[in-house]
Amino acid sequence: MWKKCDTGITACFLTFLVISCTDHGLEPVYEGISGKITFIGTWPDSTEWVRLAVFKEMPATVFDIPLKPPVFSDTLPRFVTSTNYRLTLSAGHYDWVVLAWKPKKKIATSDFSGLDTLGMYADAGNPKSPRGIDVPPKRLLTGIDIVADFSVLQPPSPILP
Amino acid sequence: MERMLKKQFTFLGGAFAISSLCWCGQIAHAQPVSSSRGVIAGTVQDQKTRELLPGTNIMVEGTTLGAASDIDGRFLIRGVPAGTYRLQASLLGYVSAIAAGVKVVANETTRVDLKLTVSAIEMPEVVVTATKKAQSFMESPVSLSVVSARQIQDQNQVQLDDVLEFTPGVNMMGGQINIRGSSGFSRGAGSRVLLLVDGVPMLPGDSGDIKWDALPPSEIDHVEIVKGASSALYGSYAMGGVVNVITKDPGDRPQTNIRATGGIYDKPYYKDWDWTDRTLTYNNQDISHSRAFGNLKIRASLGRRESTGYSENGHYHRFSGYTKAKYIFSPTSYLTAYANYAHDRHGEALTWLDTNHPFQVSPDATGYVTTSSKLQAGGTFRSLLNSRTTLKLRGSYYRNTIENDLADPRVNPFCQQSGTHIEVLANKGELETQLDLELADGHATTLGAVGIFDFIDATLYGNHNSWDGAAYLQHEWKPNSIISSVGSVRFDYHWVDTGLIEYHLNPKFGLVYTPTSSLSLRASSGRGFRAATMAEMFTCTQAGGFTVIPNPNLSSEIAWSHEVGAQFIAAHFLVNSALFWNEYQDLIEGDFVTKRSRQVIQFQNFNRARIRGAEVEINGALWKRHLNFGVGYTYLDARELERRDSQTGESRKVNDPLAYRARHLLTGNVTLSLGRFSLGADSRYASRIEAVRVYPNDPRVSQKVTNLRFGADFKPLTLMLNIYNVFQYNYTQVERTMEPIRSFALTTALEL
Repeated sequence: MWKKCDTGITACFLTFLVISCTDHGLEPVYEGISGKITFIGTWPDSTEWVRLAVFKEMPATVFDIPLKPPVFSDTLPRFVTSTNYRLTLSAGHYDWVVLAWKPKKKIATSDFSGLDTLGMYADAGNPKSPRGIDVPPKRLLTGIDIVADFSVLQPPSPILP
Repeated sequence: MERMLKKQFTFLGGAFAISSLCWCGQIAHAQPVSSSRGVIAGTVQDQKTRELLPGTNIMVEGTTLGAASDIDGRFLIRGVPAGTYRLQASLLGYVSAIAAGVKVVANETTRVDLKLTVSAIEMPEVVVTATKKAQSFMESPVSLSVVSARQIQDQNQVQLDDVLEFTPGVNMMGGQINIRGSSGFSRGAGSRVLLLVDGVPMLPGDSGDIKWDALPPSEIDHVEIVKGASSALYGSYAMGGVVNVITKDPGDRPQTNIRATGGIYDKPYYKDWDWTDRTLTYNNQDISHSRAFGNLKIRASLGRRESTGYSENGHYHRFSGYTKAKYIFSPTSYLTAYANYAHDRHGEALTWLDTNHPFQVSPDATGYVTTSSKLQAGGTFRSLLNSRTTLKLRGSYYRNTIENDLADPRVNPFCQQSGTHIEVLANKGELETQLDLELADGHATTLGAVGIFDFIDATLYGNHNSWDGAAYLQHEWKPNSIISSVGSVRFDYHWVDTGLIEYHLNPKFGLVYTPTSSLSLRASSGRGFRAATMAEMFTCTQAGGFTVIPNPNLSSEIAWSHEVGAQFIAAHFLVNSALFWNEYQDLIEGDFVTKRSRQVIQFQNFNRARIRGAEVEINGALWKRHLNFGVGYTYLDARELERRDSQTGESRKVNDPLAYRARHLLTGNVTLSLGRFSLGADSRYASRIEAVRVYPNDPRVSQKVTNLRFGADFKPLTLMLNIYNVFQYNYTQVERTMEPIRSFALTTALEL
């Protein structure tokens, strides 16, 4: 009986250690957005990078973009079928969350020139209708999923619907 | 004025020390027992096999007399004054035993044959805290845990509180010790656990909290932790329990110990939390020397600790000097005295910057530094006055200073204080006389009287003083070898210069039934109290955006503790279990109240609470004691039952979780020893705190910490590698203060 007890205590202790090593307790609390990007179609070989660009206000013309530039994410993984992302943003309303695609050999004179629109956070059933977001204070707004369809890649730059 | 008072206290301290020594000397040399002495002779044998046991230490309790059994298991103690004694026998691998009622007659030899029970596990030795006198661990009427010298050495922590966290039923909350949920958290203003060093109280006069950095860890031999109200013997503060730190005794042989540790903090687990490119490190150095000069034995040590900290403003630089001396006047009387000085300069990180920068502080708070010093001195004189009476005189003095610039520069409208500078000087002195009387066979009485003074001079509190007087009586009755009972009562008088006067009568009863040498059942019930500290009564300040105002009418909080427990030795295990029920009244807490249309913090007798639960502790050894392990679990149901309205004074019934208490506490340790090498782990788990006071909406998680250790012993050289928080678990104990991240430490120890 006591041998079983020895084994039981040892097993409990080891279980505790195993559980402990997979949990890291408190995590950073991000203020921003996160979601999944699903890529449809074939990645063009000319792809240099893909980034998220988030606009406070929808630019009426290309000339408005330098005046109210977007927040860009880091470059996202290329030649994948999907990727999860997380982007830090200040709390507040944003009109447009768009996925920007940049081909090789195109010189981007600024963050937003020479880019094409690959997809956007859109109303359900209408992938071309931008859907605004409200980032709450000190919280991560999740579920901002985007479908990126290479068949509807929209030149010319700069990015506009 | 301040200088005058300082001089007065210096003079008083000196006068106390000189008069105490003279008095002790006079008593010691006026021994009435020296002319009639006898001899104790006998054998020590294994209870089961009857095999005679060499190398057993036998001590005559209350004296310095003792002997070790020879190769044939025989011992001889000469020059024992006529009288009745208790003998303590201890041998590695056996349960320590006490033989009571040993009668010594002048010029005759008393024969005592001791029988020891083999133990397959490491057993705590004789304990001294539960009844203020030596007793077998199995005969303690209350729950008691012992942190052994081996555990302290293996864990290799910078401060003792980091070691105690791995004790069953003990949980640290922002540096404040909770025994079975007693203390909660009050930012250092008041402890519901009394700290003793070698039986002498060691809490400062202002805040009454435990200054863990003042205890030199290299000088600690072991620690006894009594759980539950113990004011019937120890008075204020002991309402939640007692921690008695037993320091190393100076030895007969010259011995030098050198110990050095170098450590490095890992990067935070999340890259986003990385706040500096600097390498964050810590290092500790200790050197101690012990030797004897005739009847005088001395031990002295110096220690230095330095760290960059793992967070911004987390740095510290500490220095300590400690000495302990033992002077043997005669075989039946000796004086143990000590002095300790600790200086500390550390950065202050009152609260983190935000949840995404938990290791940083606000740019305004960068550079906040606190300097503090602690001077502790005291001692115990012990003398066998006659064959049935032992006298113990204890005295202690504690002076601490704190200095920083943390106050807000705005004028505090509640006490017209302004300026950022905070300065505290606190003095505390205590004198105690204790008499242990063996009135008749099976009857032992302890009685004593205590006097305490506190004086503080601080920008935070103003100038205040208080006096306490107390008398206590304990009677132990052991009608036969299987039953013992103990009853004690203490009367306390508490006076504060505001005119506040309080009286307390604290009784306690305990019963122990030991049907066999490997099983004991116990029950106890007692009352405890804690007088409000100067900090709780008089703090008036603004810091960190909060305003704290005084409450001179704050009265004591009280507790009733009830417990039933059992402990037994079975095969390779020592199992200790308890059910406990503690009722608290007039608990002192700092909380938000509205004064002059402002939200301020004030300490008040806010609430009635109940903490009940169960605890089990299992220690064991396997594989011929190559594998030692311990597991402890404590379940706490801590509820606030009534809460007093700060404005109307009316109480309303509630049933809320008591703040800063974890419902489940789990600790575990395992050590594998193979020849010169050892490998071990220490783990603890505390469930998520259900309620906090200041930032209830902040994210909170449970605590899951595991430390790993490796040791190699090449006498006289020992090497150790410790990895603390090995799984990089991120957690807070109190709001907005991140606990240490993973660190690696390499230690070299040399014994010459």
